[in-house]
Amino acid sequence: MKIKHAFVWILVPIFLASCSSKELITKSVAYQSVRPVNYKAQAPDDAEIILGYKISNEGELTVAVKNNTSEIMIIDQTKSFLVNSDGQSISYYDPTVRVESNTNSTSSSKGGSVNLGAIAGVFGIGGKLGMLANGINVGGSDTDGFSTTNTTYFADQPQISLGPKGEGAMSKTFKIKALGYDNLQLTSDMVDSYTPDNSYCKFSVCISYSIDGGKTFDKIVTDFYSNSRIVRTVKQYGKVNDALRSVLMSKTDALLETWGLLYFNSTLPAYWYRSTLMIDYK
Amino acid sequence: MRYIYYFLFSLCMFMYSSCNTYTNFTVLTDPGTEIYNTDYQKVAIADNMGKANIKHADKNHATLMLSHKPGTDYYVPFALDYKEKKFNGLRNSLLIGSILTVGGLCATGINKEAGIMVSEMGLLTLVGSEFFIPRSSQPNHEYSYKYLPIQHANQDIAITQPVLVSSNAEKKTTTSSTASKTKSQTSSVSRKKINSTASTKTLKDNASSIEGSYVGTGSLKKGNTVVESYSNIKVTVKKKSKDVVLVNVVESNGSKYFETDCEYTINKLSNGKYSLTLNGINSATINIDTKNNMIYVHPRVNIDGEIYSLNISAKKK
Repeated sequence: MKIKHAFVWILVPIFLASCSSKELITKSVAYQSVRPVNYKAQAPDDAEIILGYKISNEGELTVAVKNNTSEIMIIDQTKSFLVNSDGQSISYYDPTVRVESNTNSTSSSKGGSVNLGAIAGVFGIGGKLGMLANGINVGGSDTDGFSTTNTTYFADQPQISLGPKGEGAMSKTFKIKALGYDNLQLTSDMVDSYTPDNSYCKFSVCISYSIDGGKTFDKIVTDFYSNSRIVRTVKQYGKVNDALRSVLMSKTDALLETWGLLYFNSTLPAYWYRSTLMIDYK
Repeated sequence: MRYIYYFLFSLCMFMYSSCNTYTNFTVLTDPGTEIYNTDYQKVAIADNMGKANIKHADKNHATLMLSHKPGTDYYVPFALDYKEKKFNGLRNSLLIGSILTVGGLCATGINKEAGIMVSEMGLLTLVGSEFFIPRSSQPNHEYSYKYLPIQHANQDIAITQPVLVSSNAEKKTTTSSTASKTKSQTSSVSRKKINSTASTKTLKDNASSIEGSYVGTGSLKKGNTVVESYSNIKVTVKKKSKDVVLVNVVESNGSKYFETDCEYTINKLSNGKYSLTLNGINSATINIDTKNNMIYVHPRVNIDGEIYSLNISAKKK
């Protein structure tokens, strides 16, 4: 064997062997939750419009609409908008707006159909809305997060007609600023609870609709706020469960909130969240 | 012949490094508790001793798992604790292989055949080390950790239902967003007569200690102006849970102030008194002293869109 080949065989492994290994460090366990300001458990039979709200683990909000009348409902997307937590107002019809969502929840299909698939089942009129199991998305069985692959969205047009008893999802999914695990990479202890007045994260959705052929438009506004934010640092290396227990004891209803996200701030980050369908009606 | 040994050695190294490794640990929890991974696949059930044995594949990193008590409809997460553990197999084998290769090459000057054999063994070790790379790419190897042999589920933590504030259904009118927002923030509704059912329990807790009817006098004010005075008004307190009660106000003619009972959270003070706060409206409070005297303050009673304050002094019947 040539000596120079041997040196290559020798030097490469030495370099490989000298590389330092990574370390698993978990700095903190963080939690945040969201509630509607005006919680509604179920919609009555005579509600004319029912909205279903779903927030993903990344803080992405999708709105589903059900026309509970026997008329054709027109949704005016130019007059429907989200007021984000930073005060920015974003219309549901605005071709210049970039949707801030990941590929899982991008509205990839913009067809005219309004069949929402699995969402339809949760708009139980008069009965208790099914609470979705933790982590299971609305449109399918993907437990990794909020996947809307089975959901058909409204086309991105100024106005959309929704047939009697029909339903569909608004054309865009919006990222709520201050929500999601990218906002929980905090490393200082905190236990804060908030009211609708003083919350660090407040956002609202306004949907404009008509049931008289577009002569007059009514609107329904739903307000949300984050009612808690907790961070517990890991005091002893590797003892992550102590920090998690501290979070759960600080807020004993954390696991049953309408939307709650646990985030493990680690070199191998992880999250777990509960997202129920929040409804509003008029 | 030695090449046969080299081949067998390489084959063994390849098979060894290709096999999955597992870490075993035990989760301590209540007997019968089910343990799930974050994909909601059941991985174990705690036995009569409250131990659930888990065999976890090292190729997957699990930050947390879930415990579920049969009969409940929620899962309780618990984090997996770990300690630092260095996995130096790859590094050590690379170093040994390098030393043997270099040493063998140097030894050829003394004994050519022995030197070649040693260097070949060294090269074979280096090649065999490559088979460790898949193992070394496992999360526990890459991040130098090992799960502790004993883990603890969090089933012992009391999980409570959130108290969610709601109001009456919106009437079919074109209301402005400001108006509806104001109404929702007050969270109190117009007076209507409804029947109510009461349930009582005799458990000794905060709610059981204070539940009952408190009768006294009161007034309804708008600003500083007294709108109505009450000489015989009743505050009913019903237990919902250990530290949550449902409160309503009943006039002498039997009509209720609020269509739905209001939920208050109880805080027992160090002096034996009770301080109750209306969920959603921190300024609405009830204070009960050790002699069952009640001071009821509600500054945001919404009657037909107007805001009033209701104040009552009462004593437990």
